[in-house]
Amino acid sequence: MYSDKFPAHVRDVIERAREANDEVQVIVRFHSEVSQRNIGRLTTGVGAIKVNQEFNLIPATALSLEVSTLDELSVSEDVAEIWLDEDVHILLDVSTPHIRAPQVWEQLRNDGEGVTICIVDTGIDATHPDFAGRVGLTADFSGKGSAADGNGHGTHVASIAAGTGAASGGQYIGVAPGATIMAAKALADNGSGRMSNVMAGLEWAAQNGADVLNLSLGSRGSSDGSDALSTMCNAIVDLGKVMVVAAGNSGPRQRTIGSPGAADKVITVGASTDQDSVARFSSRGPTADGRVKPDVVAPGSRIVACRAAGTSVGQVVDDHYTTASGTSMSCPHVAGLSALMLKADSGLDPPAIKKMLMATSVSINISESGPTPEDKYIQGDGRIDALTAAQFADTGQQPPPHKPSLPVPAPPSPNPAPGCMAAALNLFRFG
Amino acid sequence: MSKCTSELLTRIAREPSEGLYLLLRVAEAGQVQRAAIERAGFVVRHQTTLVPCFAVSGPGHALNALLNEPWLVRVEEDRPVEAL
Repeated sequence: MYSDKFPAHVRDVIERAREANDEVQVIVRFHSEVSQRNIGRLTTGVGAIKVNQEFNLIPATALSLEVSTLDELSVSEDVAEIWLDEDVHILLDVSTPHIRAPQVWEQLRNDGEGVTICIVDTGIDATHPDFAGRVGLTADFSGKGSAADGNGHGTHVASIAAGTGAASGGQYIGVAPGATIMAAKALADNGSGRMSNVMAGLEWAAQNGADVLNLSLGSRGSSDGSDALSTMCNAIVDLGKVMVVAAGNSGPRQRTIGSPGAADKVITVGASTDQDSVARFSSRGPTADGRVKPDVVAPGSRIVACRAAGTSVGQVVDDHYTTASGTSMSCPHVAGLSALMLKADSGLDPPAIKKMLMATSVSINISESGPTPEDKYIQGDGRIDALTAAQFADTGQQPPPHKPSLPVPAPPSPNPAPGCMAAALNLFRFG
Repeated sequence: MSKCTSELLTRIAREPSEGLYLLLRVAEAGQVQRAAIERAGFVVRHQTTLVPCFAVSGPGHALNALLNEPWLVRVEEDRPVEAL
């Protein structure tokens, strides 16, 4: 019989390990530091105990051991509690609360319903339970013949923006779970394509009902934002559509924002961690012509979201979910938030949404010596805060002006010459 | 301002038959322009109107027949993009 020292779900895991004759990884909390130090005396010594980590703030130790040895430990009066030492991921059920999206759903009764987000990417697994009944138009611009996602990237991205979490019992919910999803497959199943495939997909999306367009893709090499793809993105903003673009994964060097992240009118998104620091891989500004980018940052490190059937992009969690990192994952957090803001006030135009997102973001890249002008090139105006941004949208109030703590810096010199970048042709890929 | 970077022109001069993927930004993306592009030897892969542009593939030397067209605004490489 198990004592109260084991939570119910821990007992199940231990029994499975017993049947499989596996070791278990647990964290044992002792009643005192003395008991913690004398752990070896609490068992007969038949089974090996591997100490993985000792903690000081609480008298607890992380252990790997056989179940029979754990049985001995568990009956000791010195042991207060036994927890599983579980794998830790930054789940959607962590990242969405981190940006305070659930408060928007609950306090403002706003889940983005009625707003359409188009994911221009590798396609979508429209059969995934998290998208049931909510995938609208789809189209292929990759040459495959359908928008079915044979890569998995687009499906993962789409669920961060607007997945319902149905396959996880409502645990892994996207930022705007009521929004309608469109999908334009512009990247082949190997995750790559050409600018023209993306331009064609964007034009289709803008002309077929998308309110928010998400681009978790880009080219390598610093861009001045004058190329055709960036120009297309700016034109779509001029049509009244919100364009959200990943900054890129070429950090921490400066001037690593490529196309179309360098487009002037889009919302360019870098990656933050759940510790509220900027991810090392997140591309940095300024743009090749010296403008400040990214505009904001959002969670993008080890995000668990939907897995397309038959694909294995990232680190697979189970049949329905997988873990991936990148500004690709940050971008749909902002696309989802944009949908929430449009739901709050459908009259908001893209510049107003961008301004509110930036003005309500939380500065996270403050060094010990205080903010520096270069912070802008790392985090833009900061990590998004969904509740504050949606509240501004909801009330129609004007957001505060630029944060006084984050001055716009003078661009470093020298500037590379703007124009075409025919030399920047190396393929790149990030996890 | 030149319609095309010197790097691209040099590349075409060095390897005129090299197959290229290009974006031809035009003043207007109409039938006249498309016909001229195809006559020059390019295959039109995509055509957009929000930003008037033809995405083409074909030998680099085909561009020589188009560079003096008044409707041709800018030429750039149709570069690869990747999932991030």
